[in-house]
Amino acid sequence: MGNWTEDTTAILLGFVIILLALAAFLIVPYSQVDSALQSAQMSAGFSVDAWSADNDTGNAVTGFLSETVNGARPARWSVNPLSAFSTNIFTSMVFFFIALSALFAVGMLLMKRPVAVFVSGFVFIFAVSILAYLLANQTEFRSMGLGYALWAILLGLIITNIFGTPEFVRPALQPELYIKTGLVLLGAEVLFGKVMAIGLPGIFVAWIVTPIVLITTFWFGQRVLKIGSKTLNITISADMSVCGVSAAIATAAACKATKEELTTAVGLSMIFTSIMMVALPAFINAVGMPEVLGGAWIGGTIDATGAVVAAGAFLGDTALNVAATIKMIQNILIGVLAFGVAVYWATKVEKDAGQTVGASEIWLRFPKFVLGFVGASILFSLLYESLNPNTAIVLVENGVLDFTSDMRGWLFCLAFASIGLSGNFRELKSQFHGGKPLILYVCGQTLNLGLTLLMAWLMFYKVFPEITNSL
Amino acid sequence: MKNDALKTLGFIAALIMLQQLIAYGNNNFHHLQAQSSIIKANDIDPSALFYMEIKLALSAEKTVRKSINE
Repeated sequence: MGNWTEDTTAILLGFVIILLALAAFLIVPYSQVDSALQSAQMSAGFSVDAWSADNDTGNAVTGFLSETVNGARPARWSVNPLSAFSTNIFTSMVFFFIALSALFAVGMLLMKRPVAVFVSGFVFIFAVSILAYLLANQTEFRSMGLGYALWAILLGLIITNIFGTPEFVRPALQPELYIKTGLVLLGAEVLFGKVMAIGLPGIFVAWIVTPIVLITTFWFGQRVLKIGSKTLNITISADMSVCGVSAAIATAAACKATKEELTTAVGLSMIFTSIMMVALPAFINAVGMPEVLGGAWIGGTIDATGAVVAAGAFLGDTALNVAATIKMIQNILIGVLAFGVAVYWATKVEKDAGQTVGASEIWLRFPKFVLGFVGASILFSLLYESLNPNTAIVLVENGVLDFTSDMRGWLFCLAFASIGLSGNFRELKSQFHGGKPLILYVCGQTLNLGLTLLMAWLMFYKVFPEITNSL
Repeated sequence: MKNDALKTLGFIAALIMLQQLIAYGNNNFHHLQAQSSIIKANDIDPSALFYMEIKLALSAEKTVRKSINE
């Protein structure tokens, strides 16, 4: 076995999951589903969503995989947390734990790290992740967007600062491996064909404003606020301007930010997302802003995709459609962001002043997992475009990617639990010295709000009014 | 040991208080009440990180694409 690093191992593990999903959800049912769809779509009034809901395209393997990954998560609950645990959940949990620990045990073997101690510690991290999902699925917490990422970090921090992290857990605290494997899976969801969904106005709002806000906020953090850490600055700038927690994770991994820096960015994003999800639609309603403009504004400024959908739905169906589509186009920017940050860091930030860095040195510094992330994105973008559009929706979107996005959620949850379990309040507090991260976020978001509103108004009402009329 | 138990109880109490505070807001403030009922009715997870996790986001794109192409 060669020299397996965290990055190369993450690429391998990510593609093992992707290949498993492709085999079970696409290759096996393909010919049957494709021919059924080809004949069904000839009929008048055909709707792929209705067809998908009426026809079960799954088989025993896909049923088992979905039941294991989805079924291991506690269900929704309101008052009694025990009601979140059905009798079947424990079987799913056991199967899923065995599968995940076996997958990462292979990773540990490749990286020449002890496997037995890893597995015993992994039990604990898996249990913390289940608790995080339990809290995220509580009705009130869920309604405010307090998701598993927040709870996993918080539970980890509480455990480590009250009781201390048990020694046997430490070998399994591999946040970077979980995050990078999750990011390779996230790459599969970055489908470039989707960018054209809303045409030029959407691209202008999501792809022109966002980089301007990102670069200006980063510049503001370096030159005006003089934030000591460039990695903290870019992670906050990316999570505020692009798409919240997922952008923070991708950027932090690409620029090798510390776990405390990622925690700070994620915490800021989740708090402001909860506030903006409530405040922005209330303001839009109060001033009587048109639905399309309000939707575009929400889609371009609120961090988390779920919160964008919730805020858009409050204004109406048109606002929801525009908001969700703008956010989706912005989500796809994450691929360009991770690649751009990794290249910038390898070529500019990590070199000494006046030093010339050769190609081999750049290659050495470049975080290789980004190649897995971009590779998965290219593979799935080509695959999605090459299939019959309805087959792509049924088998790739509702099948393969539904499974990989659930797996990715678990991997991020394990990563955040590991971050919490290996961090401490004092180090975290030092990140907020002088309140600079908070000022950076607020100033960047203010610019984002102003610029997005201006661009949305220009594009949807002055440059492309015919598109606005068709919505 | 006693100190640890007290801190754990304090954390659980803080969780319950936060849940009660959100429930109070959702029940007594018109805007929050309307928004939480929309979230519940449409089964939206506001903490979802990426568009693939939300069926409404996926169908929104198809609706928009269809209306622009028509």
